[in-house]
Amino acid sequence: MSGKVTNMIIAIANDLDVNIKLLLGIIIPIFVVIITSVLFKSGIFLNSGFIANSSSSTSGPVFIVAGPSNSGKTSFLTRLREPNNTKFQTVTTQEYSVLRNYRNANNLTKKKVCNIIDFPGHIRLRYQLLNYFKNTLKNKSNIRGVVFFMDSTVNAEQMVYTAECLLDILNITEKNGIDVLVACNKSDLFASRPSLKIKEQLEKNLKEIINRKKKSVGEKNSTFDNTDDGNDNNGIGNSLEVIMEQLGSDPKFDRLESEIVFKNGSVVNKNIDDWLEWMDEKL
Amino acid sequence: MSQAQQQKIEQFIIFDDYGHVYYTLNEDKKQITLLINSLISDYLIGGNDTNNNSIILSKNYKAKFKTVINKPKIRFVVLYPNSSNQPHVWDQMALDLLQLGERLWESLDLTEKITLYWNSNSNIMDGNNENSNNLDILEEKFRPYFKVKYEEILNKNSKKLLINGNMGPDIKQKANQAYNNNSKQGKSNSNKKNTTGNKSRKWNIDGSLDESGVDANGLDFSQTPDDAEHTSNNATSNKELIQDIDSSEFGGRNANGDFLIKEVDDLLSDTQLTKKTNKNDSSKSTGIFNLLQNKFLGNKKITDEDLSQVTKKFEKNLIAKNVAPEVANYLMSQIKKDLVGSTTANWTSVESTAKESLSKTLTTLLTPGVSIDLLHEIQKKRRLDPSSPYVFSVVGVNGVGKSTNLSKLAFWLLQNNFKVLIVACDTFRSGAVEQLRVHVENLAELTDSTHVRGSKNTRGKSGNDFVELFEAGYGGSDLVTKIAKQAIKYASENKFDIVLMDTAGRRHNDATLMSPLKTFAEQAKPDKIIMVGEALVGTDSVQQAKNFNAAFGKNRNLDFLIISKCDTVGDMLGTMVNMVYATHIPILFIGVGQTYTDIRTLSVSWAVNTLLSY
Ligand SMILES: Nc1nc2c(ncn2[C@@H]2O[C@H](COP(=O)(O)OP(=O)(O)OP(=O)(O)O)[C@@H](O)[C@H]2O)c(=O)[nH]1
Ligand SMILES: Nc1nc2c(ncn2[C@@H]2O[C@H](COP(=O)(O)OP(=O)(O)OP(=O)(O)O)[C@@H](O)[C@H]2O)c(=O)[nH]1
Ligand SMILES: [Mg+2]
Ligand SMILES: [Mg+2]
Repeated sequence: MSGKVTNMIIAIANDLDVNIKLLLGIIIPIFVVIITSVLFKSGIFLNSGFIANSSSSTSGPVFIVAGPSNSGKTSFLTRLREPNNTKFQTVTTQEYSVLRNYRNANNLTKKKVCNIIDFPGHIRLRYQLLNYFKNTLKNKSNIRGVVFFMDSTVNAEQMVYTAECLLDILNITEKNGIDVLVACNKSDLFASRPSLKIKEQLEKNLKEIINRKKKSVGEKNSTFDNTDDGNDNNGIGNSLEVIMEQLGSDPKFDRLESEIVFKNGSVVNKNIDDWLEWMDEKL
Repeated sequence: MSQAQQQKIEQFIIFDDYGHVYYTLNEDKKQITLLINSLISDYLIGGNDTNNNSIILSKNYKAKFKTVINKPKIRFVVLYPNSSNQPHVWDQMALDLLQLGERLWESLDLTEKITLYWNSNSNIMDGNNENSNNLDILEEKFRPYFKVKYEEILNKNSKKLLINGNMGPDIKQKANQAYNNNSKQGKSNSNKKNTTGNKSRKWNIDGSLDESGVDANGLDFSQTPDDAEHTSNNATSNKELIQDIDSSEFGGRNANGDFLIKEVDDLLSDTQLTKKTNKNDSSKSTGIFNLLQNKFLGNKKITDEDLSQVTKKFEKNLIAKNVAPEVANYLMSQIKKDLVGSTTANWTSVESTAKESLSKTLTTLLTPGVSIDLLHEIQKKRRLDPSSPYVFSVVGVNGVGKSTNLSKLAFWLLQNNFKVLIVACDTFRSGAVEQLRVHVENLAELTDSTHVRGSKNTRGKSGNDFVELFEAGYGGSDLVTKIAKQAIKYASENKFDIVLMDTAGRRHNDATLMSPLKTFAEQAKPDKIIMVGEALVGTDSVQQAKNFNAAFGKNRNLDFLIISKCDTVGDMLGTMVNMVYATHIPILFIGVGQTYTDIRTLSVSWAVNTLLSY
């Protein structure tokens, strides 16, 4: 909304003489100050993408789609965005994108819409999700859930990277009471494993990761403090102590307070209803 | 040769930073998509600077890319053969395709349409899904337009490639067309190919564009310098041929095709004119309003000048924090690449937009490309091959803290119940072995309080059963490799888990000292080579890291960096940026003091915030 006002002012100004522009130069700042204070009071700023550094406003309920690279996140969002598009292709995501005002066509009883955000899984870009959490959790957030995408065909060797990624996310969701759906994608493939099996394997991997993390070298994240790992308030810092504590030395997802649900599905086969249903429940 | 037969433009693909693909020339293949993703990972995210030269993606493929700044950024990538026979022809063809794609994209206003598409709401309920309508133009217009011009480019170049007998069936099949086509246009070509030699390979519109003519070359973007003579030769030698050829023999290029070409060319030339006038318009908005937009209102189209003011300030600040000028310069150019032509968000100043971009670049640079889990790797190797130890060696310039940080590493490994053999491969500096012995004694004491300093363990060596010193006195570089090999053998015989090799400090620009490193690495085959660099060093760190990274030959790189003495520099953390920039090697630990527990893993967000603060 604020954008439109500004756009209008600019459009008008561009059409005028330089002289008039000068005059406007005096009026606009005053005008702007008034608008801003009004907007701040009304809280529009707080919910808009402004803080998350994006012109895209994301007011309303939000679902976060995250998980390792190549798990099918962008494919999933494309499927939702263009349900009739039978042939689409994706490449590695470099920047998160928002599917705004999505409404599940099957669920007409609940006339609610939501925003779904597709975050990059590339290891160098995971900071985007952490930054997003950092910026939105400060305020009363409207994150309704995290859909954690993973490739259900990953072999035992690579499961550790999926588990690592999941641990980082649980570290935040658990502290903030956000529920998580683990979407075990690509069930159309022969090598796909059932979600229960995956859950087991993730727990096993988490156990090993946590054991190693406990032994690993602490992190330096403050200029002055050498002895301790500092940690921010809502746990966006990388310290995983709390979540590791909660999962226990023999990690079980069921031990967590927020809900962690596992469901198989396939974007390619349009077998995504279980996931959408979960999302509807959380709306 | 057999491999050469498959040569053709493998793929031309347009996608955005969200991961959405808008166009592919050919049907996608798993293998090719993987290559595109590796290009994204290494060059677009990894920040490997290319200056847009050709990227060699694999043994068989090269790539070129272009970016249109927008939100999201639109990327054009062409994947083509890594041909040893006619590299220039292929390179040029790739460049032509990129230019064609970009021009066509602009002419059809696709940037704007895509912005609309992304900003619109998902609207499944209402049935009239505007979104998909917006992008129908991709299939309806862009695809056929691109295809017809693509074939034209192909045809022009296929002749050159045919001469070398080095063409895939795909191109060969069109070879006849190529001759015909070229000769058909030969006449207009030869007048047209003026003497500019096509040095400035822009999309020059030929001023004499004949509106009524069926002139596919109205917009010449695919002519290479040596092409002109070929074409004109061709024009004369094939003159008779022209008359005999029925236009319907051109396959796809029948009368209809020609009509399409004209349509495309008209479109391309039209938009170039309007573009120019538009540009003048927008550059007029200056003065106080511009200032307001820049500093406060946002929603401003960012220009090079806007950024220059801001980047000067950033650059100064970074250099004051020990970032080398070369690196600061690179970072600023990344900001410009990221932002020039984009529009600031509402209520966001150019400066804070630029700062955000800098923060992004620094974060991706400093974040390791793979997750570092050293314990995991050690366990994995030991499980697969219990008889051989995991071997580290530590290298670096004199006095940076190699021995100290190696000992810190040892202490951490000891705490994790590994058996550690410390090897004195510094056989140059007098006192180096004794110094290392002191470290071993300290470590032995720390792991076992009953240890008596100076006593020998059960094998008659310095240290105890968990940590032991392997030494063989002083000597030349032959001795170093000998010690290294003996130590590894000794370690596996005596069931050590870890071998840590200390090496002599050496100036990175002293070739006689650097060259033995290569043989050392080849003989000792360390699992990880770690370079220690001190945070104090400053500008020289770029060259240090580069030289050490190159010292092990083509097939071996450094694996990790340890940045020592970070406790002594306050917020001047530039050295770590310099070294990572120079090598693209991740930071394993940073040293934060002189005791054995003074190592930390790096918090990237802390480092970035510290670097960006004033
Ligand atoms: N067989 C199969 N392949 C799928 C499925 N979903 C996605 N894929 C493929 O998996 C690959 C990766 O999909 P993306 O959607 O780009 O993955 P992503 O999670 O967005 O990856 P990043 O953007 O790198 O984080 C693509 O080649 C998809 O075609 C599925 O259900 N079955
Ligand atoms: N403050 C501080 N001092 C350090 C750190 N790391 C090493 N030092 C000190 O730097 C000095 C040199 O350390 P060494 O380990 O002997 O350096 P080196 O690279 O092995 O030296 P040469 O073998 O002579 O090339 C010692 O006084 C160490 O205590 C650190 O992280 N912080
Ligand atoms: Mg993606
Ligand atoms: Mg030393």
